[in-house]
Amino acid sequence: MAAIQTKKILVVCSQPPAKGNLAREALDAAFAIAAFEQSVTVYFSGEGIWQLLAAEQTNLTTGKAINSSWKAASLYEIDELYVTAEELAKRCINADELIEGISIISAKKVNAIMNAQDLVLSF
Amino acid sequence: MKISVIIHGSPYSSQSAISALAFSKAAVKSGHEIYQAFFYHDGVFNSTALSMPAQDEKFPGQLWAEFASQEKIKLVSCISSASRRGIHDDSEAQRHELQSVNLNTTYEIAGLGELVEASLASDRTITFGA
Repeated sequence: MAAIQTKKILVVCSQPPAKGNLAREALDAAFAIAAFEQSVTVYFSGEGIWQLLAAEQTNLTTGKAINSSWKAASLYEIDELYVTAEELAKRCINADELIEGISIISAKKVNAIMNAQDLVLSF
Repeated sequence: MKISVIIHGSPYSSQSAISALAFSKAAVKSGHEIYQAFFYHDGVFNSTALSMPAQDEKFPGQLWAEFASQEKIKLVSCISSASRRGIHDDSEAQRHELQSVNLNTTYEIAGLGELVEASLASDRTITFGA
């Protein structure tokens, strides 16, 4: 296939890391889509935020912790990974508990980020 | 309008495949085109050829196959999701030296590149979550 066009694609991750394999497959999709030279942004919403805890060490289904995989996002030129301060606060998670490279934004900015995309893929 | 759909849900624990099918049929009826249906995550379970439900029931994956044959819609079962879950076509079964093949031949096994291509070619891409 020839992907000549570049689209802006937002990957929304709302699944916690230990519930089935969807968190992992969302990451696979984000990285694969970026490898096809698409501009990928990732937004962690709801329970998806738990994927970003630096302290996570393993995963019950695959054995591989997902937090360390997200740290490799920049290798795929995915530099925009967002979470909102409001959703962190709701879950009593401090910014310093997250892996590096995550941008914390206010919930008001989410609409603007979504509106800037050509395509939103929800996982 | 050209539309692609993504199906994340397994046939018997989610409404995903059936909702996507109902949507796609309605879209075609209203003059739109369904460009591709991409089965990802547990959605790949819809692409097995070996499901044999009770006689008065239809398997969601088979309903998709019938609709796709009629409307010439490409059905893609994602290779990474399918391999994990034991859904294989001829060439994958040979490559991994497996004893059996179980992909419904109306579907094809392909990578996420197909999803990228479909979303570039489509005016809308709609996910039916698990």
